[in-house]
Amino acid sequence: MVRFKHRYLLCELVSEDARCRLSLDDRVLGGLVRDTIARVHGTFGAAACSVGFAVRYLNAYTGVVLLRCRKDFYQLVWSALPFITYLENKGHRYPCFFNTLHVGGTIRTCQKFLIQYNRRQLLILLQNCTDEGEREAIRKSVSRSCLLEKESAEELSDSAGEEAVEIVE
Amino acid sequence: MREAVRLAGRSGFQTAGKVEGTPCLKMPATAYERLVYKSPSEYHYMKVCLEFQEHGVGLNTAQFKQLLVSALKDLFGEVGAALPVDILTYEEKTLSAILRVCSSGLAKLWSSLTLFGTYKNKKCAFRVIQVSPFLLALSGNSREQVLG
Repeated sequence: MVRFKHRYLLCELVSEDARCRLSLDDRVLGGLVRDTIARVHGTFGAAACSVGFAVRYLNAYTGVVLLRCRKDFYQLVWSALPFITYLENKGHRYPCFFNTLHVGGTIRTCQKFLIQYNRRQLLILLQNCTDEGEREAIRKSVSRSCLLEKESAEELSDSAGEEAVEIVE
Repeated sequence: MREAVRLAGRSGFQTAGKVEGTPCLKMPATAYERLVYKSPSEYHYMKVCLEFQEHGVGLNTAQFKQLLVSALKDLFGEVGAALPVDILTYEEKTLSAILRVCSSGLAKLWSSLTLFGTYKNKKCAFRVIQVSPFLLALSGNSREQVLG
């Protein structure tokens, strides 16, 4: 059917400075991305990408950002992300860069990817951990995430079983 | 679409510059090789003329190139400004030039020339006289032909 198709870019803001991530604001970030697209792709790029552009999700603690753009011009947005080198907030400049983790057609696929990605990141953190207290905390969150994974898998199989029963009846 | 039949040398099809390799087979010396070009040529040639509203504005070749790059940069940004455009000839008296651009970049160049309005606060316009994928076609223009 006729509808506007979007692409959702899941990105991670990587920076050495911890204050950089905490000072993330969706409006500031949206403006920064638009300016960068205007610089890299000119008037044409700025106009093409700004129609369906929005910052959909922002996590200040992990630095995860979900950007939405139109399907026809998502490559212009994607190619402009590596040109963002600093984040400016209240006169302070923090050097940073954007890592694109996933490109999805819907928010749901990006969410699924993010959950798997976070689980893998927890395990990596556990390996690189030095402090014993931190290690305990990470082990707890890993076990909790495994339980949640089992629960959601059971829910899915239960609902599938119920559906099968309904069809048979 | 033109097909060119050549004796064996390179293998595979060539579509718009990309070579799709066939699995490595040693071709015998008498085998034929088929090259398929999807477009007539890789480059497009444009004959353009720059017109200013006032008279007496002079530009040398470097300034003209700078003008082209800034026109591309306005409309298409850094990526557009990096488009490889060559000035093959330039006449300072008439401010006319022959440009060469990759076929994929023709639309970008032409649209940025169309929307270029001012140079150092002086109004100007690009007149595109001829566009052709072959340089030879630019040597004769049937519009300027004088009959009789």
